Amino acid sequence: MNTIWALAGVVIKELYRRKDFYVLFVLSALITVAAASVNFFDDTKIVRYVKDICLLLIWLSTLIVAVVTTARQIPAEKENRTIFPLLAKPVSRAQIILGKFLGCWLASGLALLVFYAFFIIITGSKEQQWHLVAYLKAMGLQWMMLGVVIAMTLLGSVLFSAVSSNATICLVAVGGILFIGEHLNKIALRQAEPLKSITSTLYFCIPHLELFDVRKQLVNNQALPGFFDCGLASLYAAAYVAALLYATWLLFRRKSLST
Amino acid sequence: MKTASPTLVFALLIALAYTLGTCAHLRAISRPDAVSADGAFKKLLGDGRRLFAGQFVEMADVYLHSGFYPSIFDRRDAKAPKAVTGKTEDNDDYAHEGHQHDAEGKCLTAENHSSHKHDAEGKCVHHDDHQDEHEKAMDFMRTPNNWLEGFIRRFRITKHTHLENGEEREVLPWLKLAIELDPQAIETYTATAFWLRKNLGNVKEAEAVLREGMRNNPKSFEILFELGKLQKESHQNPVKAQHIWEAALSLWNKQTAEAKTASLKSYSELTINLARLAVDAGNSQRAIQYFELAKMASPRPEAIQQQIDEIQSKIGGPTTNSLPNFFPAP
Repeated sequence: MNTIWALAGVVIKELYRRKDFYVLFVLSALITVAAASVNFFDDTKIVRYVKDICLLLIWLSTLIVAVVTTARQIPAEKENRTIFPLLAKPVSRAQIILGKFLGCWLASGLALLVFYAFFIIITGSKEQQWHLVAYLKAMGLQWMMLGVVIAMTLLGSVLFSAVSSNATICLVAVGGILFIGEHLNKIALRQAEPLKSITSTLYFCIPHLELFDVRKQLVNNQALPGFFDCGLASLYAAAYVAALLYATWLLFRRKSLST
Repeated sequence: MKTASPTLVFALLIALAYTLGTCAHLRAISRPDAVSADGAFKKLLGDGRRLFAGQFVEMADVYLHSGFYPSIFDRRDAKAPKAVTGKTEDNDDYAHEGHQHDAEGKCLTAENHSSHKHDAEGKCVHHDDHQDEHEKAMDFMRTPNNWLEGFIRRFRITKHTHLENGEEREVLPWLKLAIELDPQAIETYTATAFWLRKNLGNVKEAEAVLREGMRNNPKSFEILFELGKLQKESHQNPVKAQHIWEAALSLWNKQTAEAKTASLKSYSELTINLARLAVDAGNSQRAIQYFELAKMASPRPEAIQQQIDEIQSKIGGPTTNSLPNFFPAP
């Protein structure tokens, strides 16, 4: 376990050494502050559009941070040939995958913490209400979703040789799931066979990332799902993470590391 | 030869660019054919911005429903009126359960009067038919087809509610953006003014929105009708309201025959409200004349005839039914 933590520590250090996170955070903060400063009909109590814009930016930024950070992990080790001295130590390929996953997941969690702290300060000061439990639930659900995305990207980094192609494919796949994943069964009902069965199978197989998106509830001050449902959603995400990491290990354990 | 410092060269270039930019701007605005400064959206998107205006109105509708809204994958009537714009017709519907209302929402006839409730001011508080229609349009969430759909639904907003208690203000940013994107969308002005005035009590801003609408759409009788309502209800100025509605009626008459047929509802609303003002002013003759005009455009002329009969019985005997010659019949 120490080996996995050591590998994860390196990934976290990489996050704060690189500029991706800072650029995205400053950009998100600037857009949010600019949006919050707009005056609509001299009404200072209007706040929901600011929450909406800020949460959208948080979702986009953290997705980009998670996918880009994860996509370059294994290819960079191979390209720099640091994978060989790493494997020469008592470190198995399974531990490398787990270490990389844990590092990326924790790094995304840290990025989420910073983003949500900013979100809470901005919206709390404007709204004068502090829905801390709701924000914690939303952040927890988003972190679980990012776990699935990171596991998916890690699998992609074993499948695809180029970092850019892996990152692009993963972002398109995640975007597709977020936009139409929930509606695939409705689309399936309107199709003829065999398209109906294919779409239906796809609906049950894909990880439903949109499940973890509770932005509408946060923006509109609606009740969030209870802790039991959040726990079930976490188990759902954990099952997909386990399956994706196992698939990554299956592909990585016999993969040639020479570039 | 000594080379200049790159920093100084950069500073010189920046200063030069700024000076040229300000000079060019001053020359441009001093030209006689200079156009007024346009919004950022017009500069960025040109006329293509109108395509996005509808999306912003829909966004306002989503906010009004606190996020409970059908997606493009749900079965819904795309032409169904949106609550955020449809709300403006509260209390002054064209033919509401067999009778009509004036601008204040009071029943114009006794027909069906006892079949529904009224508030302390005598305004109708029944809108069941509209609510049913809206509830039907928003009943897009069917029983889950499978366990996964049921599970996902636990993380969704499943209750159909509308913003209330001043929270309606949250729809305003999107309506404001929709106005910026499509200044010719008359419905957006009237909807924005309605929410500002009726729900938030911000009469000053509501009037400003309507006046901006008139500047961008000088031929809009719909905006003038709303402006008249604002004068009558919020400023308690029936004389100004009458002048504005008469101007609106005049604009309505200047339309083509096809446009007149398409906007009979507006004609009926204007004439009924002008008739009501005449009744309040004690001008029974003028009231009857306006009711006669309204009768021609109304889907239920017998209800308006009843109103005319009531006035005639009050003043004792029939009066001349000649129409005002400055407002021809539709």
